[in-house]
Amino acid sequence: MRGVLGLSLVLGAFALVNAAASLLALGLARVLRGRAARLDARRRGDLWLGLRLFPAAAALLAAVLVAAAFARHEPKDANETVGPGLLVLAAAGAALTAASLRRVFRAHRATRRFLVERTAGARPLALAGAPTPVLRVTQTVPAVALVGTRRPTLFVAESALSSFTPEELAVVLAHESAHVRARDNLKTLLVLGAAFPGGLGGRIERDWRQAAEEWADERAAGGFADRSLSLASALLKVARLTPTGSLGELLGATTLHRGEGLALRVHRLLAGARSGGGAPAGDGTPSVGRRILLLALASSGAALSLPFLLPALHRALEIVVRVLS
Amino acid sequence: MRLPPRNPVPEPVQGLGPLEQQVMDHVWEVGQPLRVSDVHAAFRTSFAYTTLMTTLDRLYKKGLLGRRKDGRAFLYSARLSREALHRRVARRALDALLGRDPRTARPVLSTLVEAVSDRDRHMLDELERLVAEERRRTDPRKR
Repeated sequence: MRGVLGLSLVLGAFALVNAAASLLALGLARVLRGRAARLDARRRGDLWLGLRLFPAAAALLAAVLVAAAFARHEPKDANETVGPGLLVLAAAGAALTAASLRRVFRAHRATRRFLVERTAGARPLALAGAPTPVLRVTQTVPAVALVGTRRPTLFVAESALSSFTPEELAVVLAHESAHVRARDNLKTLLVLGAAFPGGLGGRIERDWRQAAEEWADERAAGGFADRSLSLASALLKVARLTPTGSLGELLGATTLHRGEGLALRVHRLLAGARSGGGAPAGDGTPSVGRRILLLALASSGAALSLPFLLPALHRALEIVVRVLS
Repeated sequence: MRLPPRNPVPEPVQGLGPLEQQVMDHVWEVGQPLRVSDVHAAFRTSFAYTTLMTTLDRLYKKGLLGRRKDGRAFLYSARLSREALHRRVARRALDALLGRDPRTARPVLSTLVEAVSDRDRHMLDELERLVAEERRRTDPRKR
């Protein structure tokens, strides 16, 4: 019974915190959408990614803390039961987790199928400036796709290769390099697995994808008019080769064009070409030193507060169990 | 007791006129409450003050704008985002087109798919024209 109670509390905490944090994220997204449009693509991407991942991260943290408080402070011989309220919450937590796992599993299956189909008959291609190994494939969809998180592979369709000019191919490779540097495939993997109830995070996810593509476009163009125009032209060629919505969700993958936000990207590239503005600053990833400092601060804060936090949390859980029974 | 909202958002069934569309575009673009005089100034007086006042009032009555008193004037703001309005209009139009009989829905749906493809093609043509134009501007040798 102790195990069932503990599991119910963990799942219930996950559901409750996920729902509250999702509402907060949706509210913030609504308030910030107007202001976000004025941010550069990198900051906008960080904002949308943060909001999209926040509910799952907060829920996961809550679940871990509840599990720790329960394991450490719940007496072995306690005979509390799982009430109907807690059962409903636990079921919601289980449903959320199952939905996330199903999404990841489906994408994993689609990616495996994609890799088997594409690598059969594919030919390796030596391209100067390519960020990863490149495979030339006969399938037309997707025309250009970067697949994989740790050691990604770039798949380029023969039809796209034959339609690109050398300048267009160079800037497309630079665009994919920007995705590799920004670790966008890892981010898509996290987004895919991060629970957000009822698919309500879809718009935030689309906004993040759009910002990530725009940032990779900016990095690839580097503020040069001719590169901006070559990328715009390559995007339009790919759009003609790729019917909208023809590609399902893949695990840890980005494609040059997914059928959304194309006009906006081309207009931005045209505006960049007109202004001839300088290269965007930074490479979009915070410095290692700053990350280590943040991580050290967060870990020491957590370590210092746990001896006080866990007993208090356990007392709160006792009240919750009584109220929901 | 909860009072009903004074101006609930009705389903906008009728399309917007050209001036109404321009005014809505301006309100969405600015993103904050506007007086008639603000809209009049933004349109650089190409329309009479009273014409814009009537247009704003009409948009309020259609439920697309909300308004509140600010001294002697009204402050108008959008009640729906551009996207939400387009979605509603599209849903109403689709409901009317598709009807309830699957046999009538099928030809409508296939026409819609064709129309979307045509629209995509037109959009790509237009974007390509813009890119080519910009290329000619930045590189006169390619004229």
